[in-house]
Amino acid sequence: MNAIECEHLTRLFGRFPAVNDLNLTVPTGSIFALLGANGAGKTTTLKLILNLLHPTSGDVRVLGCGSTKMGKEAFLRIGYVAEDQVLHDWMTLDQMLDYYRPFYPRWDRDLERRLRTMFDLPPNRSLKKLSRGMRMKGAFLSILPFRPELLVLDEPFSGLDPQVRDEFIEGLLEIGDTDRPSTVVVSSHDITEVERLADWVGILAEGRLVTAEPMPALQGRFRRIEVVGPGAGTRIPREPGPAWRQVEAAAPNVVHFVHDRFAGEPTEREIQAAFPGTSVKASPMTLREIFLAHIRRAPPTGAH
Amino acid sequence: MAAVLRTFLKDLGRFWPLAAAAFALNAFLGFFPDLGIGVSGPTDAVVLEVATAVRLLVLALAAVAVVHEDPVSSDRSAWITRPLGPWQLLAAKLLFLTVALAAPSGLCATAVSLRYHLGPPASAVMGLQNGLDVLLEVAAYACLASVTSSLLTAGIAFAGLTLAFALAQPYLQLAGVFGPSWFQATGGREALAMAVTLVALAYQYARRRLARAMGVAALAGMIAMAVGWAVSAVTDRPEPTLTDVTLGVEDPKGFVGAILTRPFPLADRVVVGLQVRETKPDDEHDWVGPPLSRFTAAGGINYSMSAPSGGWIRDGIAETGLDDAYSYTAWRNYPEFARAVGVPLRSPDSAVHNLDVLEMPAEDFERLRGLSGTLTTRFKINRETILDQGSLPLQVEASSAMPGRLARIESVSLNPNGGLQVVVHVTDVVARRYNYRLWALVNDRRNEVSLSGFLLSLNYSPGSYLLRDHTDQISFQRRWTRGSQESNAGLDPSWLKDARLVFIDLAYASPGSVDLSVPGFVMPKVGGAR
Repeated sequence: MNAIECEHLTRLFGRFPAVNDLNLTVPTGSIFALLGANGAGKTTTLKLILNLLHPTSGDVRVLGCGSTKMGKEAFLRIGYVAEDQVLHDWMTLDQMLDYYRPFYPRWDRDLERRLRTMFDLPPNRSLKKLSRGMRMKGAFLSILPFRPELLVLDEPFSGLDPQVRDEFIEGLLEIGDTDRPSTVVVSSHDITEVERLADWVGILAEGRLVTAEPMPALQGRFRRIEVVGPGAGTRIPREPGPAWRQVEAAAPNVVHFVHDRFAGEPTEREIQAAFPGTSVKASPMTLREIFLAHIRRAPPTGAH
Repeated sequence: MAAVLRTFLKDLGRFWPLAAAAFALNAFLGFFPDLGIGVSGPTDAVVLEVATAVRLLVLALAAVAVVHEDPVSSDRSAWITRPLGPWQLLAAKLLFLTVALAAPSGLCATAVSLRYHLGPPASAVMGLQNGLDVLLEVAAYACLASVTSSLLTAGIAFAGLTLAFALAQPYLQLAGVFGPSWFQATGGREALAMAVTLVALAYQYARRRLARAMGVAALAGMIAMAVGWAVSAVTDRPEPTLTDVTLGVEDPKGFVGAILTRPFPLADRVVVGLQVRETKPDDEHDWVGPPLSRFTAAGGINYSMSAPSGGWIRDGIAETGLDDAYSYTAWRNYPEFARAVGVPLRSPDSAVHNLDVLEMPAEDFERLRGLSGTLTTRFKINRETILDQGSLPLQVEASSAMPGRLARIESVSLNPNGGLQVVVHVTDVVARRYNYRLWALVNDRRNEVSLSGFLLSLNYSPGSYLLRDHTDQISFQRRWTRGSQESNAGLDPSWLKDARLVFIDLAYASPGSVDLSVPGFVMPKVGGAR
């Protein structure tokens, strides 16, 4: 079963399609990173998923419930933290937790205590007097103890210094499997951070889904290819392979490109056939490199 | 319910200073030392006006702030992704408006009413009325806040609405003249606005779609208007027309009358209006007998008409159960009405007094065509009503309280011609609207009654939203035996010894019924052919 299912989801702002015919599934139990450049539609997508915005067309199902019909019961199972969320800034952390705690019958006081120790937040200072990182941790602290089945994080690392980012991620990871929500969706353009966290990746560009797949599969099929010829004159073929991206001549006898359907030896043989007499070297790529390869080309592929 | 209460307490925890400020201002205005019987001096007036304005500002700020605490128009609000339903949130906000803002104001009104010896039941009613008024007022501000996300945008929206209202005012006035009776009635437009406001508020909380909320509000308003107009089409009166019937006269004292007629919506009735216009406004004059159109409530006025020879034509009709909309020439609408029917309008406040409205069967009206004569009126009022409204012993320093009003006699003096002059200081507690008043002297021992002449309100004092006071100067000239056509001039001291002064507030009890009647009244200033 999928935690989230979007079908032909579209949201127009005026005539501008912020989200355009999006088909996306987030498997239950995954930590799903939704990546995209600024303005790619990540936040709008998450707001559509949580019924914060109404879709122009298309459907969303969240934990088996249509998003437009989600009521207060649904939010007993869903936690949401966003960089631009309006908190009750005048409250202290204690006041905020005292206010929210009774809403959730499954609130885990023990987990709350452990998280408070971990985050080391001042309990009696109003939220508006806390740093941005502390406020985010405070927001996080008001969500995790009710053990949401789905946790949605919208740009949680934005504007945080590296130390707080590390604490934040480690906090999430160190909670452990039993305490971690079963499904996490995190949107970010801070790719290095989510690479440590996510096991699924979806990439958005111009409101459309470019790809969505498990992290190992994504990283497994992407390779940076280096073709080195014996002398000058290693030429790029007139018709590059369909899986080749960013093909460039790095030197007279060197060609670089990204292969997005790399399958080991057969792919290497195929490349060597295109470059007779050369040596082919395939290197693994980081998520950041894969993301950039997508963004620079970004052919909309629809659903995965 | 628990979620509603928690959210309410959370809001109270943040906004109690505003609620306390509103309460303090309410208390200050209610218990301002010199207010009530006798506000004096420009300083007091300035203090009152400033405090009243600040109170309004604080109420508006509190209402807007409590809604913006959990914004409805923003998709960044925390409450949307918490297990708190929109109806629960709306209930929590309304609870705050009620408990923190409206109820304290109502309590103040009750306390002030008790202070002015209005008695527990009347004071409780005053408190309830005041609390409801404040609740409706702050609900309107809350509605504005629900479609905005900051104090600045709420302020801009408020300014825009105020401007739009000002621009629409001529059309609203037009609707007030020609519109359906419910629209003209006191509170009709306000009730419509409030209904639309609440619909918009509920929709905005439920759906959080601003444009649609405004559309739904507009639709609700149009439906309400359409229903109102459809109902009114059955019951409303047709347009008035000037007729060639002249009953107008001009006398040396300078009064001119002219009759306007319009078909009456009931089968065989017509409505007759007598415009009374002063040609010499500066002249001193006295009106005697019961006032006319200012008291034309349902079934409350009657008339008889006589030919110039003095022959009796017939008594007027005292229909019961008529909507008071038929008294369409109510004071506030007179200038517009006069324009509508083409009556030359001089200064409406001084030169043209009123437009008296009577109604009679059409066949009787036909008999009047071409005739001129003396118009007489007969006033009927319910004895029980009088007793219920309270009375004053006729002596200086006497005071009496009735719902919403405290009256105290300041002076009683006999006129040289035998009439009586009484000056009464009246304090309106919770002055929601102007109430028509009537005074009567009742002598039960002699079974006689004297009705006040034209009422003059003098010396209006600066007031607050809770209190406003003024002086009424009342004159009594004639006395009638109950059930008799005869009246006698003069009120001697022996008659006054057994008399009591009765106050009738027509806003609380419409006159009607039979017990106390004053037949055969003649307006001596209007008579003879033009």
